[in-house]
Amino acid sequence: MKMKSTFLSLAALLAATTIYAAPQVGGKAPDFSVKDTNGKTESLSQYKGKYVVLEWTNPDCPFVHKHYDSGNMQKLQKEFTAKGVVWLSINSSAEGKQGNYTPEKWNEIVKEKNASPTAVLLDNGGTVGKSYGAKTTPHMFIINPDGNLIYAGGIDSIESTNAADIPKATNYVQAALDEAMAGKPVTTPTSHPYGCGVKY
Amino acid sequence: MPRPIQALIAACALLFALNAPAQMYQGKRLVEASLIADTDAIVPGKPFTAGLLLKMAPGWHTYWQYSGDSGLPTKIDWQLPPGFKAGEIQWPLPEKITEEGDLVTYAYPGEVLLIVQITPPEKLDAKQITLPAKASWLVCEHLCVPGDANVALTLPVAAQDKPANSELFAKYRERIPKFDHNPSEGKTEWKDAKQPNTASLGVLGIRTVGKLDFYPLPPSGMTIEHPEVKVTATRQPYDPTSPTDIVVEHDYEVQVKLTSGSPDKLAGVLVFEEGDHRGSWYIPPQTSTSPLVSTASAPVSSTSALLRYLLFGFLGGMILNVMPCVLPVITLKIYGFIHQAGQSRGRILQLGLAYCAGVFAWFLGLAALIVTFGLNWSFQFQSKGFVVAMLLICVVFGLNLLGLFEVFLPGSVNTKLAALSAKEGLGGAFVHGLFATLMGSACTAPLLGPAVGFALAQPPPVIFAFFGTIAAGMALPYFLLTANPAWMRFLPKPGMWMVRIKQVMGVLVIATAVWFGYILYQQVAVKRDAFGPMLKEALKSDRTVFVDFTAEWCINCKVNEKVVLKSDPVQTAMKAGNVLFLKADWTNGDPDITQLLKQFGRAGVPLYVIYPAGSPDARNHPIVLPELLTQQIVIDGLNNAAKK
Repeated sequence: MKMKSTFLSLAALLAATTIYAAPQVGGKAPDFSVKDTNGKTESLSQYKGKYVVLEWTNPDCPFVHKHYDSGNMQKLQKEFTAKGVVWLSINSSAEGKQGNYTPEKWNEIVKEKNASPTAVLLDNGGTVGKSYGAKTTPHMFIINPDGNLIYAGGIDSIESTNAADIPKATNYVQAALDEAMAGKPVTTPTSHPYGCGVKY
Repeated sequence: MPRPIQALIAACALLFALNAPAQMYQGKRLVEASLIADTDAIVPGKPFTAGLLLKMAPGWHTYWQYSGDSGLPTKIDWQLPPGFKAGEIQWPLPEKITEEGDLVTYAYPGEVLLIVQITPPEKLDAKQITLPAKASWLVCEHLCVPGDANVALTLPVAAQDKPANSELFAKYRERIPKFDHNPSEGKTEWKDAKQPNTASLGVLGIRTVGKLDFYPLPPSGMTIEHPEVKVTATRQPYDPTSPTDIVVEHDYEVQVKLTSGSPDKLAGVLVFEEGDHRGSWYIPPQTSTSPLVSTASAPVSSTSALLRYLLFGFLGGMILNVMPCVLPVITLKIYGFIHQAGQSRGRILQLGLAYCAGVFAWFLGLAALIVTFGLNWSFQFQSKGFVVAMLLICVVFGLNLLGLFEVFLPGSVNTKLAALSAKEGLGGAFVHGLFATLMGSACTAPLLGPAVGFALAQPPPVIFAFFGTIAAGMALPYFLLTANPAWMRFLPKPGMWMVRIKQVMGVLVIATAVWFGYILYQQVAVKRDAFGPMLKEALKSDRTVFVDFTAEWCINCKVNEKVVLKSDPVQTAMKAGNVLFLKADWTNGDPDITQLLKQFGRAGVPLYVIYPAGSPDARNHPIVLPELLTQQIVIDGLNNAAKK
């Protein structure tokens, strides 16, 4: 029996170290330190005390197009950065993969799309993406001022590439931020992220 | 409407119908969509099957109803004429694609037929019916492009119909997960999960040698992590009446962690992969009251197997009595009891029963030992190791029975045991029963050895029942003879015939060994040679090694092989350079190959790698060729390798 339980706990230990665990909503959001498109190092800990939105993005993905061509994403960025929320767009495309652009090109894209994130982080090694378990573009995460994850999932409730669906959908990011900032619990803290795969 | 215009419209409609609309992307036809039916005419009121046929460009795929970590399922929006009804899409089993970053998607590379049942109204006045639909999808390679098409199916209305497109429909119908399966193929049951937020599915008694996987079907609002499938038990059920039926039987547990939603709402598809064949069962959610799937076990076949098993144990126990070193003891023992009891029949029976209790104690003790240690073993029981062990046991004991060598207990042990059991009374008889069995082990071990082996792979109750019946078989003569000593006269006289029996048993046990050898051969033969060791061996040589990472289902690979690799100029260059050509066949997802692909940063095939001959440094810097080959690319690659 003893041997069996030793074996079991060993197996559990092994499983815990090898299986990659994405952060749980309600738990601490993993810290990171990564360069933005202006060469500045950005970390999560530097924004302690503020709401932080992480938006995984890839300008060549049709799902990202849906939310940028319609102005949906920019609208959210404007609304919440004005309310003091830190909005970090993150690109985790590996070198040579779709969406991997130079910092200069990124700044052009941001300007061209009239986007207003606090910063665009270049996570070419995919470390930040993997530590959050970011799967799609877009994939949205919201972190509260205590550094806890309060939302992880898709941007809204209708999984499609069709911009005409946006007005009909429930925007989970908007809802979660509105609720949390009003001191209410988040009604939908997780949803199925939809989009293109992150190009690790 | 003037006639020429009508004709023009008709011609356009015809063209439209003949030319499947194609999704173009950078000058490439990505997806061709068309609607087809399994009939050549619509019979009023008679349901038929329509299918959306999507043909993807090589390397591109569309998605299953649950697309996985990314992607989007294909949609069909019907614009049906009044009275027509369309069912849900019946999705054929997709491929599971794992991409960099552990992103798993479920998709259809190449081609798919999404099947839908159409029910026409009871009355139709028109001579011809057109069923239009808008299909929309997301098609991805390394990048994704959404697409849609207006497709239509036009069929005449008739009183009778003939099947059409039968092959295509049969091919994809077969791939739709089965809603009900024969319970003898295995049993599935959702378990009350030990952890909250985990759906746990037990899959019991699966007799395939292939791989088992679970493709989840979470309802909307549920978010899940990747399913984990693990083997929880491995058995080799013993069935003496039809030994060739013996296969490895596995129990599995599928666990799916949920980050939102209720575990009892999760459905999915169990996928069995065996060589090129893939089978699948639909698993409804726990809350489903669907009568289609029986979760009842199959007691009939397993009970009869168990009975045969126990009968074998009983007969085996009886046979132990006629082993050369046991039979003479019976006579002596019973005369001893009669002598002790002084002709009191009740007393003789008491002594006999005490002796039988000793026999039972020995065998049940043995069972307890096996349960205690055997269970731990079964944890890591590899079926191949098991078969090898059984083969060896059978060979050794078979040779022993044939008299090639003998097994003896050390003399001192024998003496001590003899001294112990020489005591009189009930206790003495009990101890005697216990140790007579052990002393007989010189000739019982050859028969018991395989029994212990088989028992190891069984659940504890069966182990106890099995050894109990062996004990019963062995104790039976003592019980009968002490109950009625007059029957002693039926006891056969010891003689040469006992040696013959021993030899016959020896031949049987050797035959068993041969049969285990056959099973082992099959197990090994089913698997192809592992690629890892093959490559290692090849790299030890002093030749340039060309590795073609390919798979049966990879169209790009096939094209490259046919047009480039097998072409005369390339073949000549390979011969000239004394190149060792290795094919890494990823059709069945060989894990060695998956590992290598990962090392080269690839999630799939094709991949072409040249390992230059020469210094270890050259070997460690393989040349990777692009996915789309030309003859020149390969020849240049080989030349570069030769220069290193």
